[in-house]
Amino acid sequence: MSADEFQQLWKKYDARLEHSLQLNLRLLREVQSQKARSVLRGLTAGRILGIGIGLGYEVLLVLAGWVVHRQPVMVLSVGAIILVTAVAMAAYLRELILVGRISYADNIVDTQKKLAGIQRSIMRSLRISWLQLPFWATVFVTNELILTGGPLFWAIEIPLVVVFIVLAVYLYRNLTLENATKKKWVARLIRGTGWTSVSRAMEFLREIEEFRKDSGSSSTPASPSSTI
Amino acid sequence: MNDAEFLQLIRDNKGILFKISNSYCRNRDDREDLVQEIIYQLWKSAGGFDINRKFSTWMYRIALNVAISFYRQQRRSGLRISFGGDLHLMELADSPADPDTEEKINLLQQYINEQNELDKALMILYLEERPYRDIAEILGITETNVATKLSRIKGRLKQQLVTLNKTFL
Repeated sequence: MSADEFQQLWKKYDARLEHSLQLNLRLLREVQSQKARSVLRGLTAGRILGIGIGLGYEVLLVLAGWVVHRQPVMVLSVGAIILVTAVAMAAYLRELILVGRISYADNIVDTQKKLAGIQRSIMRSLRISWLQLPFWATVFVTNELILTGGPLFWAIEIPLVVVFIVLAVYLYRNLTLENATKKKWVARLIRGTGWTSVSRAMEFLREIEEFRKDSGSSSTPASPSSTI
Repeated sequence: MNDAEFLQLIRDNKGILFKISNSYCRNRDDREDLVQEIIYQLWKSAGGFDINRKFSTWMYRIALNVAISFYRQQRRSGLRISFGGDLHLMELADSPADPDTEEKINLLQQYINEQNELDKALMILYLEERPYRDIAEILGITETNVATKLSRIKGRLKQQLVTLNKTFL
């Protein structure tokens, strides 16, 4: 069978499928309005919700910081939690901006690479959030506790802070895509956080690289530049 | 471009929608869902369409991008639009060809289904007889790369058809 015959066969296949498209203005408007709403249920909605909740959380933390402003350890702890939360929210915001910049009219390799890249960044936001853990061990430490807590307080507080620091650093370093395939506990911990789509995205990024590198030369630009 | 002009362009190029949805989705509901999604994305991107360029090339880019994303998400549930009653966006009437051709078409379709998302896009564009230059532009790879990949894909397809023919004979 020659190459041309495949194309002839495809034409026959095309003729076999006698589709009819029932698209009129009413249906088009229905598609426009309903799809516009449904898009918000996806990644964008999750990020907007995350930023909304994060903002509320930040306001509460600022209020809490203001209430305890005469307690330096508490203020520092609350400040650190605010900072980590702000970094995680910035990551969410960045993902939202990236989603907004994606154009399906760009070439397939570039667009798919951007989409898969966004899914991969979900993991980064998750890792950052764990860095606030040690500050939850110090957020209740008042001036009075420091001055009058005695050996018992320090015997509890110091190991607690050390354990939380070690745990936060350990989780930050180990919650990676590579480990999710190697360590069961990582896979369990990140299940339900979009891990499956992240995993597929990583696999797809590898496929895109394979697909692109065959010729060994540069790609065509994202927007059409040649005359058609 | 107003809605009426947009509708006309979609109707004129509806074959692209059908062939892509058939190649990326196995069941009818998913196909209709994908066609809806492609039409929506085409409409959303219509403002950026340069009328000096070929509509079909622009449409292929969007349709294939949507199809690949849709395929990878394994269809999100609850997003299909119901138009009420028995009204569907897409009506399918399968009219079989002669048995020999039918068998070959099935083998070709089976082969397309076995390809990964990107090779599938490449294969569809080749079968649609798009010039290498257009294929390279739509996919975002070089013409040399297109030629290399197509030669490999065609070689594998020929091999598969020969093997299957031997099995059937």
